[in-house]
Amino acid sequence: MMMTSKKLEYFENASSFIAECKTISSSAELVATFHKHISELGFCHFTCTSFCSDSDTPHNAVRLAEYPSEWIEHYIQQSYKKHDRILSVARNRIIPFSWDDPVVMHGMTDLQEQIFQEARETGIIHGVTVPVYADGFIPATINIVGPNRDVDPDVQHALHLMSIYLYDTAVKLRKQEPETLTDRVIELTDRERECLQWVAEGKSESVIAELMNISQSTVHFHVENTKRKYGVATRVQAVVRAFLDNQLLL
Amino acid sequence: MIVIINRLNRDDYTDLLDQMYRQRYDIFIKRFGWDLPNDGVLEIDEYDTDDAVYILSVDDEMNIKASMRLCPTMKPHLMADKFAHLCFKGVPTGPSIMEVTRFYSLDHYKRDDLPQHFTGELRAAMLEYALSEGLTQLTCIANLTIIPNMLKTGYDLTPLGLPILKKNECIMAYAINVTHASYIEVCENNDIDGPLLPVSKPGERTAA
Repeated sequence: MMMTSKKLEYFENASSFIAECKTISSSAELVATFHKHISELGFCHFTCTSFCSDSDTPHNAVRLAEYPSEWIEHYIQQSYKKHDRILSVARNRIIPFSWDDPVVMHGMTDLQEQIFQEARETGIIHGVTVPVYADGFIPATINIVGPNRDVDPDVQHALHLMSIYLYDTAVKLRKQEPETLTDRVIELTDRERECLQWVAEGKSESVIAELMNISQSTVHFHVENTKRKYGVATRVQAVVRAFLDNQLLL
Repeated sequence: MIVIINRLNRDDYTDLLDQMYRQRYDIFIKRFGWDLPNDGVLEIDEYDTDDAVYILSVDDEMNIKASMRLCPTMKPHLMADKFAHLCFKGVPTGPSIMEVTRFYSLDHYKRDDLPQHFTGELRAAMLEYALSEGLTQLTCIANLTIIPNMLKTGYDLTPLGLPILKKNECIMAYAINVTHASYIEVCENNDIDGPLLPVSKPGERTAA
């Protein structure tokens, strides 16, 4: 079989990313490196997310993203996670799929179509999702977004391969977090993180107070602290910052 | 317990080999539906020759719980004969490279959360054997769904080409780099706290 130069180029790109994974020492570096390599394949954004229940955030769960922050903010505000078509398809697949695949496009609810439309308006147009499963790991999805509808199958295979190494590296970095992230500029306390987690779930301060069995004023205090630490004006902005900082799972 | 079967001792282990061929038939043909040579009971192919080395993880009653086959890459082997198109820069061959095929574990079919003792034992024994034989790489073709587990267990893998989609499965060729560091990591990740290979008789493990 003749090897096309494009095919070899995609493989070289994936191999280069895999080699770089061995020396990456932080989540931020991993995000930048993966982003660089998917850019070379014509993609512009990605997320790497462990499947987690809304209130359960295990230590080895992963959240990496290079995504438009206005979309993340909107997604959180509208509580779109529970309606997310891509997530629901990914839960039942073991091989990658394009967002334009009939398995995604057929049978969408009106709200799911609306979410897709709104995402397109922020530049999230076409994508490939790679589900990743490993014994003892929380299953994950890697969403890789680009402007092109028709993705070369070999590009999709390269993304598949790279995504497996992305997730493996992310989990290994997560285990090292106490050592590698001691110089983190923004440190949230457990209480602040917990409050912000509930904010991300769309809960009001009074509800959070009940859930955490503390007073509403204490909840308010913790939430305000997170806003102050991140230097942002709104609760949702604090959630977005914590999300991008891998301190929060949505 | 680990048992190594090679050309020098295979006559001592005809029962174990028979058990392994039966299990391979059950798993690869009946369960996975692979199109492989068989006689309706045993799965034996053209690479089950005197050159093949088998590493088995067995329980106290000598029931095989996990097994794999190593074939020399200097002779005809599966990757070169049937899957060369998966290796974008040529099929790795050489005296220090062997091919892993027919890796299976009965641990996988348990429906409980018991640790995969036999799988872990075989994973570590494979590297221990490779190191003891001076091998540098073990080549393999596998479904991509197992790669996250391979990485998690501590193997250092080098893909040999992009995956391909075959009958709704993504498969890929890769090399397992044989290093002492990855052997230690695999042992740690599988709760292996010492050597697994049987003490060899003179010349027993080196003839392949």
